[in-house]
Amino acid sequence: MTDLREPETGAPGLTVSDLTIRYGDTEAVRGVSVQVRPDETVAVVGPSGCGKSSTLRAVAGLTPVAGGAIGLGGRDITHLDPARRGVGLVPQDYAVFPHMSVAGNIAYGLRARRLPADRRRRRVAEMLELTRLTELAGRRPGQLSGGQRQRVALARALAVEPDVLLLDEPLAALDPQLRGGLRRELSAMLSSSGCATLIVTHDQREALSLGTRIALMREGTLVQFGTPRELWEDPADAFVADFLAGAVLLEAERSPDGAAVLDGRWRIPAEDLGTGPTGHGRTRLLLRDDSLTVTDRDDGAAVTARVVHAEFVGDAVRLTVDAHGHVFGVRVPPDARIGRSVSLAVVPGRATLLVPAP
Amino acid sequence: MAPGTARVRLRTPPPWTAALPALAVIGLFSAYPVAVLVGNSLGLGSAPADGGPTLEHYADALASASVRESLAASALVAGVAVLATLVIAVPVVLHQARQDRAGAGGASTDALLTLPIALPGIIIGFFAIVLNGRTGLLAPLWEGFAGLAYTLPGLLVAYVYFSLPRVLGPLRAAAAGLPHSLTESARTLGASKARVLATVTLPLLLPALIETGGTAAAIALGGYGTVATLSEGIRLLPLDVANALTTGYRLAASSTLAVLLAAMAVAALVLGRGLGRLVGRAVAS
Repeated sequence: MTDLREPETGAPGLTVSDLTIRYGDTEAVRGVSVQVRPDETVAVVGPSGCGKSSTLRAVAGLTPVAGGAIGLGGRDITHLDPARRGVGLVPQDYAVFPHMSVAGNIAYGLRARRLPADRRRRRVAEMLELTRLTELAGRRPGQLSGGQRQRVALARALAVEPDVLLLDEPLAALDPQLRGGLRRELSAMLSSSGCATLIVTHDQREALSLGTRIALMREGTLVQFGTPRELWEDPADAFVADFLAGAVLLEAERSPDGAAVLDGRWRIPAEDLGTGPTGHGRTRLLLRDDSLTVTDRDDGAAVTARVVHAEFVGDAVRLTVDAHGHVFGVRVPPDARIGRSVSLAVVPGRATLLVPAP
Repeated sequence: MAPGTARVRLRTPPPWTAALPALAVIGLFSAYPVAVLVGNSLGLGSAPADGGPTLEHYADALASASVRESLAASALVAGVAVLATLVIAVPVVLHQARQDRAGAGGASTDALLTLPIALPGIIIGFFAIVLNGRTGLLAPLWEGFAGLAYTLPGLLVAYVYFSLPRVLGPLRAAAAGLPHSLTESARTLGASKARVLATVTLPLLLPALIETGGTAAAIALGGYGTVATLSEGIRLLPLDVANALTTGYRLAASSTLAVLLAAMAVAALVLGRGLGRLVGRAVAS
């Protein structure tokens, strides 16, 4: 195998190659490689403890790297002092300086870089404009809302014209009711800044809507790296399908008249199935929340499942059922009479058989 | 009104009654003695020594060169010692905060640093003599160490040692309360470690520094034991208070000095609190 380090860290944008991070004896991150091109936003997503925040902190220079390399804008920054990396960090709590005004916060990095006063003022005004904070320039952070503080942190980070913008759980500290609007606002500001961006989040919706590409991590390793559509339509494994879409991915065997899953105990007729290509080598059946229905049919096209839990969700009752050790979700009308077990069938056209390209 | 609610109201006394026991203790052990002291100093004490209201005792005290010297020395020693203590304490608490974050908080260093809080000032005075007395442990190393304990620098060192554990506790809490993300963000924005200290860490610690400093100065002003053991050359105000009482039982003179001492200590405390709060409001609004 050739040494890929040199050309990779020399690329524009951010290049994380084969990154390993250790805390004492535990490996928090193992061999993770992610690239962020200068004009894109990569969302690193995964459950808590998957190593996504450690990865971000390593890029910022706040956590020592045990192995691998980090390149930024053509420079190797693996062991560089955080002050000289040229990253713009927006921490989870925003870390807005409470003893400085909004304008003072935005000017902080420019002062540290000893930018002349007139250029500094111009840059601060630009950033205030970009983040729509001009009217609040003289306020102290204590007088701002959470969303406004986030914009201050963003403006402060962007003011120094970083080679990469790092956002750690940008929306987690905000009220759930506000997140949708602020997510769209953030997305718009990120695209108008034109800066390579790495976002860390545990929220799959944030990842899907903010990321031009998604890096999904689990237990310190990278599970899948691709566009939201790739991950959504062709998940690498059952974990990706479940985490990102709440979907179930089953190993399947294709036959001329359909597909067999659950070791042949459930045969789904071909006319009910959609098909899609997969780059992951094996034939699998992707079942989403709306792929299944409860049926009266009792032939091979249905499978019997035990009802584990029923939850009223307003316009429907959501059943959690267990069929041969696999757990599925299925929605039934709120007035449906449900016994201890049900027969499941796929809704025609709603289940996708992922077939390897020939 | 339903009878039930009336009974309930009777059972809950007004909130200020909860403070009564504390007020009684303060009244008995603070307000009353202070009133007596102030009375004595104004010539209102019990006869035969005192014969009616007068400011004569204050005039006498302030006219006396030795009292003025003691006042100045007390203010100097307490002020300089506390300033030096804060300068020493800041790096210590910042280091401790870093260790705490890394999960490597040294309970033993912590205990070692705050243990002297249990030591009376008189013991600390003895420490100073053992180390820097005329035949002290350090005396053979350099002749300047011999007898240093009895000089102004020696007194300052002893008072720093006395004040340090009293300052470390509150400052450590303040340092631990500073979000680490502030300094991390400042670093990624291009600031050197020194710049982060000057522009982020110290400004945010300032209110706690002022308040703790005021409290420590108040305690140092009143400390009797240390200076009592090291009282060969420099005299501090607490010594004069005790001296006026033990030599000839000059109650009025002693009370006057005690009131002056108490006023200085309270002023240091209140100034520290007030200024600390003011700066706090200016720093973090």
